[in-house]
Amino acid sequence: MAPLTRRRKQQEEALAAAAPVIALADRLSALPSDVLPQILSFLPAHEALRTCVLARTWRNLWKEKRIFPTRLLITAAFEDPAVQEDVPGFVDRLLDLRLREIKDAPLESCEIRFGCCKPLASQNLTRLELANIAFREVDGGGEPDFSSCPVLEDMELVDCLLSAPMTSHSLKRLTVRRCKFWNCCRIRVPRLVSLRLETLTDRGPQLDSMPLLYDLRRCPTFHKLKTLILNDHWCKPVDCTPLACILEHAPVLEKLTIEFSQQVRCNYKMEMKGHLHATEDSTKISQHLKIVKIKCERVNETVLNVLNFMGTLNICKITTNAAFRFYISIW
Amino acid sequence: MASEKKVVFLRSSDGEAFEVSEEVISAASVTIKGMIDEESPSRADTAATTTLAIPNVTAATLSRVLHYVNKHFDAAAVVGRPDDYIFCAPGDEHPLARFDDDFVDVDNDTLIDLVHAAEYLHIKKLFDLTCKAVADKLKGRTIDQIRETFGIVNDYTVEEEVEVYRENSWAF
Repeated sequence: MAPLTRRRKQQEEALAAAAPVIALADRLSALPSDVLPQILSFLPAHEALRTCVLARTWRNLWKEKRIFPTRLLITAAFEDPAVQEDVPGFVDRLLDLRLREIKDAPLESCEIRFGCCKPLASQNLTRLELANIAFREVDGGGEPDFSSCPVLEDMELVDCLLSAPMTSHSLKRLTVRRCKFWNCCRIRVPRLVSLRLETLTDRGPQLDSMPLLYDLRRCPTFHKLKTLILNDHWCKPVDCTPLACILEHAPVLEKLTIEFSQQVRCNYKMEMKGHLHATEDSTKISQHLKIVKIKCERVNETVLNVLNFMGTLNICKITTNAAFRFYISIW
Repeated sequence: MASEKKVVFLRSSDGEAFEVSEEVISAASVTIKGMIDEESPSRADTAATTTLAIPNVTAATLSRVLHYVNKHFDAAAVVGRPDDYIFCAPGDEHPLARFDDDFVDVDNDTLIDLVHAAEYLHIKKLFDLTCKAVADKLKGRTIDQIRETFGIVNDYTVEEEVEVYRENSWAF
């Protein structure tokens, strides 16, 4: 509020010249122009939009770039089926309207609170913050799919519950704060370059291939990461460079699982368990590591590579549920 | 500093002075904290109590605001409660939720006075509370009902009104 005061003064002076008719008794319309958007932000989105029909002042609120907030908070009623039905189209039109009419006042952030069950679709959305959202796989097989937001690059999830796979082919930066992961929550974000994970549960997400992720080397480590599930994309160069990199940056990791599969599944023909044989301190792997699991359908070259790599980290075999002892003995 | 129980006086636009704990009002109002900070070098050595002029807020509104501030920002009264009851579990009602509901259960003029005061004094929690209360008065109403409730004059020409409805038809 305070930083806006000076700007508002200018706005009021500017408005005085072409002031619309406001009745003396109409104290609502006469509220400062940065207060009205604040009020509207508590309304369901479509109801907020409707107010532009009230009078010219209200239409200007939406049209005039000088009085439009750079932060748009739209709260849609959870219980309103009309809103839920039309969420994707609504958001698209809202953003379209916002971008078309107010080009000179870039929207810094758009916070949308919906009881949403359909994929979000927007050609313009580049940054998305979601709070208190539960991502669940619904009966129709739906899952959080951001493919309909082709330019979405930044996403921040706060206080979310993730129990379904999540996909975005454009996402570059992902921050996950105070979120809980249930089941095998797989995150498919192949273009990701920066990832920040602060989770509540000791169960982490399963991360698919992110060949562009370079921040792992540059950035601080995953200080709280205790459980990590990766798929075999992380083991692809022969020396398992990406895997080595992530392990170096997870100093308190307790449980590591590598699954050789394109889909999340519960059962694998082969499941190997190993633990750290702590003969000497290594900076290459967490000394808290209690268990390493490798799950696969069959032992192929990549699996052998991973086993070799584990060997270099002093991770020893404990058990396997299958009869491929010949291969496992390498470990 | 807290043990000294410093107080400040706030003088409303119509000249009435209200006493409030400096610590409490500083925690609540960014604007008044700024005023106190500006004053403090000059009064460091004197025992005189500060009186701050609040030219934009009437006595009736200021007294309501201070009632809210004392409920929400007096550390002794608030201790042990989660700061923001919005994050309480459903059914796990925050002790101040009822107070807040009653606080904004007022006529339109009083409510808008409170919005102005909260905005001017920069009391974020009160600003959000009052803005939300105004929104609740708009929620679920037709355009005509809103106009009637708040005395909003429709200053569109017929052609303009048709046009603005057409532009926003998808919101109806």
